[in-house]
Amino acid sequence: MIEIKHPEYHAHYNPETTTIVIVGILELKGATEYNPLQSLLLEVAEQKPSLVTLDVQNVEFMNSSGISTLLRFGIKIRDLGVSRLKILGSNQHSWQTKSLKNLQRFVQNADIDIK
Amino acid sequence: MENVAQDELLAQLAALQAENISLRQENEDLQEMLEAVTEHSDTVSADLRHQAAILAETYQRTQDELALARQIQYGLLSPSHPDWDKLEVICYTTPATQVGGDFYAYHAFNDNHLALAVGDVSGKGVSAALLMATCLSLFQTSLLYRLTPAERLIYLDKMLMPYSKFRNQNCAMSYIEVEIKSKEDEVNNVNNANNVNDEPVLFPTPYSLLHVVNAGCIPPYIKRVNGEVEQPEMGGFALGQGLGAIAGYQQLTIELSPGDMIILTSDGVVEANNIDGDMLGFDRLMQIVRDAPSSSNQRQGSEAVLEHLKREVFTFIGSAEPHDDITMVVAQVRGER
Repeated sequence: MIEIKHPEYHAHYNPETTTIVIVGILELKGATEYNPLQSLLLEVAEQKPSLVTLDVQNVEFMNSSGISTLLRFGIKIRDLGVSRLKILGSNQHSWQTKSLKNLQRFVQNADIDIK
Repeated sequence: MENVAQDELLAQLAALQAENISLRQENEDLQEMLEAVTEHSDTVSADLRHQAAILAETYQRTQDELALARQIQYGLLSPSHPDWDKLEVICYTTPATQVGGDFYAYHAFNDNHLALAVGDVSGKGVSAALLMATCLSLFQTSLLYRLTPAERLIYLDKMLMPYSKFRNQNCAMSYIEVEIKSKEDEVNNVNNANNVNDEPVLFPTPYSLLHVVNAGCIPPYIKRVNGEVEQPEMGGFALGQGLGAIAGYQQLTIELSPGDMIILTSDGVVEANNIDGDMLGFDRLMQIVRDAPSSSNQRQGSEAVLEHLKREVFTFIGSAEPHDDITMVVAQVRGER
């Protein structure tokens, strides 16, 4: 289990389910503050599981640096060319409905499930 | 040799081509990321504008509701100037926020027996305002019963408890009753005195009796017609905790002469803060009361004193945010000396 506990968000990766869950508000300042989350995502990508599920259903807000972090993760998945990407979102948070599909710019066959 | 050099050149060319492809891919990725991030920013900005509009609308609705609540709360209070012949009374209250926990109340048992109260519910805002309405209602109900001032506070302490104790709220109250003595009372008193002592008849100065009880509020100031100021030292548990019903309330009786004034205030007056964080305090308030006009002219004497108190207190507060609700009641005994 890889885990990040931050006052504003939590993130953890469960290797058994190969699922990354992020919860909270991602309003950190600049790329530097996103380094721990970026490292977690890239580390998971490097493990090359056949399926990676990214669950952001409970991320209420994400700023531009946060979305860049997710996009870099998508690029890494594409470049490694091994894992399928599944994204779980929620239509309760309107940024997800509009911005998550942009991951398909990089991982065209990403499965985006917005509930 | 030529073949080796050619192979090296081809390898370098291949590496350059690979690097070129990689850079082109990176460039495309960056372009895509830029577009995606811009789109995300637009989405988030639109969301924030939408949220801000909802917040503004909610804020406005809350303000409108609070303004209505303030009107309703003021509607619960009696007019600031009771039309009494023998006691000139003026009342003033202002909440720190839209609604507050302070109140004043008065009642005439008859023309010569009058009651005044200043109440101060702990806390501020809506929760204090709701308990204030309950206190006021219970106070008015208590007036249906023939109780001494001390018994009235005990009754209120008990009756308020179910509404206040579970939230650790209480209501401080300063309560007075004034008994105006008539000419007949004076003659009877003189005759009685003569019967006992067989002294020559001296027509006494008319007087009234002030009965004071206090439930955790500021004891009343008594400003004599000659300008001297007294303040009885008396405490007592605030209402609604059940403690006053156990310990009882001290009741003082003080003689008043025509022209004497009684000033009731809530804690918010003493605890008023200025912009430097200094508190008005008891000493300053005592001085303000001393400096208030003390005239035997009983036409609007209490109003002049209230205006003086308000001017001094609000000048002290200046531009500071209101710290607490402020309530002041000034009463002056009418009648010829």
